[in-house]
Amino acid sequence: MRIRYLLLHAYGTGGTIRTVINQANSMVAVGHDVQLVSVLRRRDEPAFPLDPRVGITTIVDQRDGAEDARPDHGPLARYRAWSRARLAQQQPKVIPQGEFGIDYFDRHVEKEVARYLRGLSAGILVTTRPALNILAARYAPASVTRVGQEHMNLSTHRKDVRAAIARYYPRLDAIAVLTHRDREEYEQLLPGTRIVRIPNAIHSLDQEPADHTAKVAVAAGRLVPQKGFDMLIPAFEQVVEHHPDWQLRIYGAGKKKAELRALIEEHHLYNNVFLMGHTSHLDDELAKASFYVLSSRFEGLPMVMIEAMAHALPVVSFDCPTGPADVLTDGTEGFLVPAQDVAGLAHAMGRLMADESLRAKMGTAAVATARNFSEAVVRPQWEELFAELTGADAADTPEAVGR
Amino acid sequence: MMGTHAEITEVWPRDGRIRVVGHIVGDPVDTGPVPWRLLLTLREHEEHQLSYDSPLGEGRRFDVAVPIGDLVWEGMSDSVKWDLHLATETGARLRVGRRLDGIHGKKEIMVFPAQQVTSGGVDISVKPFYTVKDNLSVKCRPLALEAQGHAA
Repeated sequence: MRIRYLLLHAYGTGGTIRTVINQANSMVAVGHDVQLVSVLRRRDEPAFPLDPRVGITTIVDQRDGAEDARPDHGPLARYRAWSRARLAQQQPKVIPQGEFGIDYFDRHVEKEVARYLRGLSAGILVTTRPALNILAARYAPASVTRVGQEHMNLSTHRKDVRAAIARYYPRLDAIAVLTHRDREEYEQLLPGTRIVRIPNAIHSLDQEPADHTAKVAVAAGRLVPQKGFDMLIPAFEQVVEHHPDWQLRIYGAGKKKAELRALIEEHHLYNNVFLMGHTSHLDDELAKASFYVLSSRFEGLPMVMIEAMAHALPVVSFDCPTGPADVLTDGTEGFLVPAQDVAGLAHAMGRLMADESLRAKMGTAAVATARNFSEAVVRPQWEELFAELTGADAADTPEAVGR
Repeated sequence: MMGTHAEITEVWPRDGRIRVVGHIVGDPVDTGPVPWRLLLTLREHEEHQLSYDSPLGEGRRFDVAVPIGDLVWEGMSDSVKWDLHLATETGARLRVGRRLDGIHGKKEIMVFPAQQVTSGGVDISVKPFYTVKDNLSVKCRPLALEAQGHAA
């Protein structure tokens, strides 16, 4: 199968980019013809490892000294440069302002993407965020199999984005979401549109297991309000009273660092709660802990949580939209606590802190559940979807249309 | 080269004191019957020392507090740093630090709040911190008069 993945910035970092590059690598490894198309290019090399068999192209190169920034010669070239500069000052016309990636787009970029999409004629096109799904729905010809991926849940999108989703997504051949709950929400919004749930795959199942003896709880994520560390810190204060030798290590960087530090100091938790910063060895750090905590207000599908489970870490998680309930059964791999229930989070952490054999038992269950998110389980789901959709295309022959 | 050192488990900078809790780890230190003390030396001026009784409990545990007012003086105009040791009069001297928990780069990770003390009309911020070698020191920093004006 010929598959193109359209990413906003394949050269950047971030969860969506990482998982899409993983998908591309996984598909090329089993013999598919895979191309990664980056709307923008601001760096020389991709930040994540890309299989050399995956082709990579760029629509608008924004590196200094790149072709698009080259001084032009001749009247036509000068006109084009002038026109491009003028369009680059304008807002996009089709992509709604509420799209979280809107700052990456201007009218010039939008037009170039539309031009690229119109030029396609066959194969499978996978677009990876609302802006690109909307443009694919509007501009890619129906001879292309168009699959829109959603990496965040529907309820997190702003109103104008939801309106554009309702308007444009029915033109796509399928929408792929990460969780069952999100699938139900899309099915309500888009009756008659094909919605499938395919989770992201974790990078490896072959991980060093935690031994559940260390008095260390671990959390990870950017230090932003979405991750709810402002709720986790007071929850930890409630348990630390009874378990003063336990630590909470929070991995990640972000703009809320100073505020979270102030919260730690205000609660006198500087001997127990540590802002560890970014690490490129999260696997090693997970293996040193005894359980994982997820305190998010919302998620798409929290991959680090599943990666922690592959290390045999039990999980204490808010039942936030979406993801934790798709992965965890309360009482099996850990505890699922009502969203934003700080006392409930504290209580569940206390149960795990008090009982090493419970941590070990739930950790074993966590490894088993994490297998559902292995590449070997996830990749065939994409292959089946693509085969089915292209098969449906094949039935759209003149005879079939005449029925 | 780990040797013997004084491993910290807790640091409590609050209520006008800095309390340090931990235990001695490593080979036994033969000091005779003399008691252990917490010794603070002024960095680059080792002749300036402060010392506090720090009897060891079970498991060679120590639990000792320093009033922050002792760490500053009237007319202090530049920042100074105090380094912490557990010591005896008979010459044993163990640096106080936190090295056994597998966390590297504590200087940026295990950060403590500053307390303030006034000396000779000048507000001075007193803040424990881990050095790049994960040892504990205390920084005393006179707050600029200008900044105090803004705070008022």
